Amino acid sequence: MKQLLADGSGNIFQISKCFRNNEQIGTCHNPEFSMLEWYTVNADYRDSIAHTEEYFAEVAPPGTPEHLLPPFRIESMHNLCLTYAGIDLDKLQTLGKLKTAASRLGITVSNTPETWESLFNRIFLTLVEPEIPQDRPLVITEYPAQIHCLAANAKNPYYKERWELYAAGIELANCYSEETNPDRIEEFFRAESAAFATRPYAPNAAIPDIPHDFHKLFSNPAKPFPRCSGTALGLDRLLMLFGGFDTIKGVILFPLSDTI
Amino acid sequence: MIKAGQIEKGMALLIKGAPFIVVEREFVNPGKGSAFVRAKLKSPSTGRVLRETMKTQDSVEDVTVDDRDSQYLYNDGENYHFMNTSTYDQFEIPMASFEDYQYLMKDGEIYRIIFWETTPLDIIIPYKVVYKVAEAQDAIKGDTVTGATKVVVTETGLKVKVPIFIKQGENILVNTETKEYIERVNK
Repeated sequence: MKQLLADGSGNIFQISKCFRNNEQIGTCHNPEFSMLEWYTVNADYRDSIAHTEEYFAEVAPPGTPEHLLPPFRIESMHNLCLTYAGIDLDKLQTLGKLKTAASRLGITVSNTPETWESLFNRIFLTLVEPEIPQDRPLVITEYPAQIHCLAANAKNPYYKERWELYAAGIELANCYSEETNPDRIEEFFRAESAAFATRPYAPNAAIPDIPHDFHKLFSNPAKPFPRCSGTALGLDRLLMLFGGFDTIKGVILFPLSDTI
Repeated sequence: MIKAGQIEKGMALLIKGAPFIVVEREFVNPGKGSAFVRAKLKSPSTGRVLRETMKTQDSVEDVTVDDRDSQYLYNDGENYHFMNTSTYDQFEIPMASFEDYQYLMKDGEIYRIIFWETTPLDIIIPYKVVYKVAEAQDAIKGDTVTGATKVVVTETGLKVKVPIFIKQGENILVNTETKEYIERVNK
C-alpha cells in the first residue's frame, strides 16, 4: 500500500486476509483473519481517530450498545500508566529505572535477558490493560518510542504518534502517523531483521530479509511521499462485537479452533 | 522447572516460595511483538489472587503434586472439612480460597484433592455434576414462550437457570465451571 501511496494513489483502503500463528487461538483470535487497512493522505494519527469514529457510526447496526459506539474515550499511554500502575513513563526511560519501578510494583523479574519494550509490555499487560475503562471504546494514544514501529515520532521524543483502539477490552485497531524519513525506515528494518535472528522461534522458522529498496519509496525527489496516517482494524473482531457474538467463531466460516 | 509457555490451567507453581494454582492462562501478543503468558494465580492457603505476565521463554518453578481421594464432610463457614479416605486423617481447606465451592460440593461425596507434600492445593470438582433440584417454582400456566427459563436451587444451594419444565425433586446435569444447566437426568 505504501508503494501505491508513493505513486500518488491518494487515500486508499483494502480488506485482505492476514495470517498470525503465534497468538492464542480462542475467543478473540483465528490465525487467518480479515484486516481492514486504510491510509489517509495529508492526515495524522489524530485525524484517523475522527475517521474511525465516523466509520463506527456508519457501520454499527441499529441497537448497538453504547459501549461500542463513538465518541471514543481518548487517553494517552502515559496517563493510563500513571492512573493504573502509578508510574511516570517520562521518568523511566532507561531499562534500569523501569526495572526498579517494576519490582516495586511486584512484577516478577524475568530470568532471561529482557528489553525495555518487553518489561514495559509486562507492566502494561499485568496492571493497566485489565483495568482500562470499557464504558466507551478507548483509544490509547502515544505509545512509547522504545516500542519500535514505523510510526512518526511525537513532539515528546519518548513517544510515537501511534494509537490502539480497544472496545469491550478487546484490541481492535492500530494506527500511526506514518514515518516518512527514509533513513529511519531503513534503520527500522535493519533492527527488525537483527531482532528476528535472536528471537526464540521454531528452529526452521524463516527470518525475513530486509526489504532493501523499500526505504527508497520515501526518498524519490520526483515523487515526494505524502504525509499520511494508516489504520489497521481487525474486521472479524469488529463484526463479532457489533453482531453480539461471544467468540470470533461466530463470524468465521471455518474457525481453526473447530479442527483441533 | 518449566517454561512459562508451558503453563496450563490447574497447574501448581511456586511463586517466591509459595504455591499457587493457575486459574486462568492466556497468551497475549501486544502489537506485533513477542508473546507473553498472562496468568491469574490463586493461593490455596489464603485465596490471594496474583496476576503475572511472563515471557514465554522464562522459566517457572512447577510443583510436584499428588492427589488423594477425600470425603467432603461439612463447612463451618470458614473452612471446608475433609477426610482422607485411606488414612482417615481429617484436614481443612479455607473457604476463602474456593469461594463458590460450597454450592458445588455435596456432603459425604468423595473428591480428588491435590496435595503438595502436606499442603492441600486444589479441590477437583468434576466438569459435569448431577444435582437434585431442592427448590423450584411451578411453571406459570399459559407461559409458552419458547426458551422460557426460571431459576431453581439445587440440594447444595446452587442457583441454576433452567427451562421451565424442570420440577422440584428432579435431577439436572450442571456444568460446574459455568454453572449452567446442561440437561434433565431421569433416574
